[in-house]
Amino acid sequence: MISQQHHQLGPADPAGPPILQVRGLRKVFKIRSEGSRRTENLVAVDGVSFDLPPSGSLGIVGESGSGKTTVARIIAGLEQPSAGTVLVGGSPLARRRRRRRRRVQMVFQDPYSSLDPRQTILAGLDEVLRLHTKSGKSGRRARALELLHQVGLDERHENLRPRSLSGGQRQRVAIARALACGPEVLILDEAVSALDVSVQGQVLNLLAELRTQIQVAYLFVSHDLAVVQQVTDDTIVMHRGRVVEAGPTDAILTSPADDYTRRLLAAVPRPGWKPSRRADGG
Amino acid sequence: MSAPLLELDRLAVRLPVHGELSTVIHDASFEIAAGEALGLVGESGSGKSMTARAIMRLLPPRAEISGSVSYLGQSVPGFSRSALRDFRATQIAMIYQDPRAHINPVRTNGDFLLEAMLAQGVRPAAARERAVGLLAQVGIADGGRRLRQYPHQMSGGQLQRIMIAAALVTSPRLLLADEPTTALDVTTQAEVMAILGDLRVERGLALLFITHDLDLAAAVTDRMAVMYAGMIVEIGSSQTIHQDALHPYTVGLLRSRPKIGSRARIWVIPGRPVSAFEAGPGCVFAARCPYATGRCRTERPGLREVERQLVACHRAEELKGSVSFSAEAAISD
Ligand SMILES: Nc1ncnc2c1ncn2[C@@H]1O[C@H](COP(=O)(O)OP(=O)(O)OP(=O)(O)O)[C@@H](O)[C@H]1O
Ligand SMILES: Nc1ncnc2c1ncn2[C@@H]1O[C@H](COP(=O)(O)OP(=O)(O)OP(=O)(O)O)[C@@H](O)[C@H]1O
Ligand code: SF4
Ligand SMILES: [Mg+2]
Ligand SMILES: [Mg+2]
Repeated sequence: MISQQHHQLGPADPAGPPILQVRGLRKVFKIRSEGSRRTENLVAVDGVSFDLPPSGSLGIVGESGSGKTTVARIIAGLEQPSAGTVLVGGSPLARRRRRRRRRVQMVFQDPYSSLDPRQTILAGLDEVLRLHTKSGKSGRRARALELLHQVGLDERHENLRPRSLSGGQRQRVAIARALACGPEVLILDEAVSALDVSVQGQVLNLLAELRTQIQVAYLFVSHDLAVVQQVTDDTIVMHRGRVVEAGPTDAILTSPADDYTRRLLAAVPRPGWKPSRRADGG
Repeated sequence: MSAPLLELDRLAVRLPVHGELSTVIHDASFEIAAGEALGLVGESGSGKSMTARAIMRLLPPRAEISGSVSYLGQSVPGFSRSALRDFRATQIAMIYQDPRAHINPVRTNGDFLLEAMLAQGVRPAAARERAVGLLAQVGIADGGRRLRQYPHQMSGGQLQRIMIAAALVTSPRLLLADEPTTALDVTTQAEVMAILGDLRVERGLALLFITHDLDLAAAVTDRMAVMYAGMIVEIGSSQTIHQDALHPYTVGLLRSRPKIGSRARIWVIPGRPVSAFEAGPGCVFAARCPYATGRCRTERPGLREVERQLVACHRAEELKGSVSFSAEAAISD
């Protein structure tokens, strides 16, 4: 078990200092019992450390409830850690919301709550572009359409509101919005899980291409191991708030060291697969 | 096989967009028998969720529907108010694709889970016990504490499992599960699928299983329907479709899956998905199909039987086993 120490990931000679340095992250939620003043502690994240090199790509996989989204939200500055530090480009997250938003962008697991229901798709993209670029009106429209095309949407969708989009279409709008501000770190929390394989393939190919064109690093949270292999260099496996295994993605997927990782691989659906309940009951 | 529990015949749905009605479902026909699981797969925006909402009678306001949806031989659109209430309370349940859009954020998980049982006159203590038991089955061990928490305090997968438990509390005969495991890791997914499998055997639960995971659909459903641009383009035994798909779109979908062990660029069906309302008069897939002919662009193929599958393609027989997108892929690369 290697849960507490810091994992040296990435190539032996990384390209410059890490864009993201995470050390000893811990998050404790207080849960109030109804009708009483008593609170209980829920340790959601415990001693999580890793580095992400510039233009690198790190996967986070693990059991539902193991703390993946909490780690992601802390890095995006949406949640305060109970302990530990997050450095972006060597310095703590800028306090000013706008600067942080530009450097670290997050696409949420649940696109419904992240899009403004009153705003059309185009207006939403335009707002982001106005905040983060110097382009004029027509330049912004062209860029917005380019972004929509990249995620498999187009002019037909620009005047719709989130309510009139399917689940997968909404998720693609969220990805386009995150890309619009040109982030250095893009956190994708189950961002492609709701997409059918064909559109998912388009988005994954786009993510792979962007990494070669612009300097953007990915933190990729997903339960789909094939997808994780597609887009990441390194992976950490979380179980009950801790990192139980870390290393190059290919190595983890071909020769998992941890017992939980092995169970994860065994449960991937394939023809003839029969769903079964966990043997250990936990 | 027993008589169908649910039967859809040429269901079509039109919705108001910018004041005009536009088609989101052209033609969906299928049936589901008690104890049977039907998979519904297909492109994002093809109308899978709308199909489920039409069955529940939960379409957006001013939606227009044609064709028929019948449950045990009775027309669902024709249900009276009280019959509809009864139908939703005792016969059918739905697991929504987007749990956070369908749950009241200011009420606790407990309020949400117990509501239906309390409305049926179950005593609070018994209802609570049943809810905690169901949560344990879907892998949430500390159910007592979770009932006191609020939806925003749950992880994505925990909330999805609360929705699954909520759909099962009333012991429905038909479950419409819209991407019920997208937020779950594969071990938890396996548990949830095992429970649904047991319920099918024990109580004849019927399942409409909407998913984009073709491997999962092949493993847990008996039959599979493939939807594209508001039309079912292929339907048949899940195993057969998984191994020997006939429709070029299905073949393309199967080829687009990323596989563990591969880092190669993912192949995707060339071209952009079309919405139902933009499909021309011909085959809905014609704009992206490498085999499209003049006839394909002018005459829409209906579902017809080929090799014990139903497929909506003019050229299914001649293309059988030989569909490849290679020429097309070479052009687009
Ligand atoms: N605001 C909150 N208040 C209380 N508990 C919380 C809160 N947010 C998360 N938790 C708890 O922290 C734990 C970790 O949650 P998190 O969302 O990080 O999990 P996850 O790994 O992303 O799971 P999933 O794969 O299901 O999305 C869970 O037990 C969850 O209930
Ligand atoms: N309230 C609405 N008003 C108008 N159009 C809508 C509305 N909701 C959905 N649509 C449109 O109907 C079509 C079908 O949507 P549906 O939600 O059924 O897709 P889906 O197959 O479930 O896709 P996904 O896999 O992305 O969830 C989409 O093109 C969508 O844009
Ligand atoms: S009908 Fe024609 S266009 Fe449609 S799938 Fe068949 S060959 Fe392709
Ligand atoms: Mg999460
Ligand atoms: Mg849907």
